[in-house]
Amino acid sequence: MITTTVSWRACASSLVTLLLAAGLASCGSATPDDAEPRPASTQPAPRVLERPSRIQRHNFALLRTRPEGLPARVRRFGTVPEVAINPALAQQIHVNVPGNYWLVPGIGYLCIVSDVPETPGIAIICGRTQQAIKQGVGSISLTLAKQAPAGMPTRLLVGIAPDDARTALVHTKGSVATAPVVNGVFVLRDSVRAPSDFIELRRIRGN
Amino acid sequence: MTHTSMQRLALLLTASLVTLFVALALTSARASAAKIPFCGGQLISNVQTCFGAPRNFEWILGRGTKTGVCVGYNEVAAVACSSNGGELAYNTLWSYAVRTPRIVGISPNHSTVENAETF
Repeated sequence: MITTTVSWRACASSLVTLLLAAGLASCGSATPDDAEPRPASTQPAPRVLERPSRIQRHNFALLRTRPEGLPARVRRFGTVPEVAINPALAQQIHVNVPGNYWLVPGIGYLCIVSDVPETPGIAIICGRTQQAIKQGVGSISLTLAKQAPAGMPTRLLVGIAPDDARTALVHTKGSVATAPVVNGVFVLRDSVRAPSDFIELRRIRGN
Repeated sequence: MTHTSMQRLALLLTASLVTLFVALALTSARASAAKIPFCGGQLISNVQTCFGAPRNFEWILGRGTKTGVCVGYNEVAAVACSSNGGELAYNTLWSYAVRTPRIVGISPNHSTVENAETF
């Protein structure tokens, strides 16, 4: 009888230990620590760009300077598998408008990450590198009509363009607004309550 | 081991396994949220919005074939807008909640929703 009791307790203790171990393991995978890379044995590391490609660096001056990286409060979005952007390679886009913008290269993509007041969450706009060389990439923020009194800016467009771009032509409902490209960045802030139809770049040489 | 002890052990083992599976299922559901498409192949423009069915999501993604798009949710028409066709527009809202995803074109010209997903 004594033998039976001891065996029962041993089994119960083992099961409790097993459950605790499993519980700890599952908690660990649900709340990953950003500061510590995950061991390769638990899950494969997400694919990210290690350094900007030659074509990205060749065409965009911003990517030829030392990256600042995304701040921790923004980079907590984790990864974006389709475009494989690396938050550590983020370059801040310095613009004199509300919010913060970064150019973040990915594998075959260039993305603009923005954190804009009055806009929920973080927006990430990504264009293929080749497309960004031809047309630039722009991120558009629209202020809700009820939050913007008449005459106040409602549309904010922040874009990046290749080194040889001189101006960005922003087409909206048949009208065209011109935004100069300065250091590979263009900004348009106006009272239009609609996004642009498309963006066209004028080059230093040719069109 | 007595018959009663065996029964207790079997009961405890079953309960433990059930708890373990439930915990693992909840964990994996959170860790790898499935992408749920909406409005794929639909025509959109700046006056033609497409709404998906309400669902639980944190991220929203949209891409149009010919023009840029704005993705949004519920009554918020635009939380991220791309400027040209083929560009991906993502937004993370930082938390899961049941919302109605939406996608609209940025131009009077029609564009097809190449892909729109929530996750």
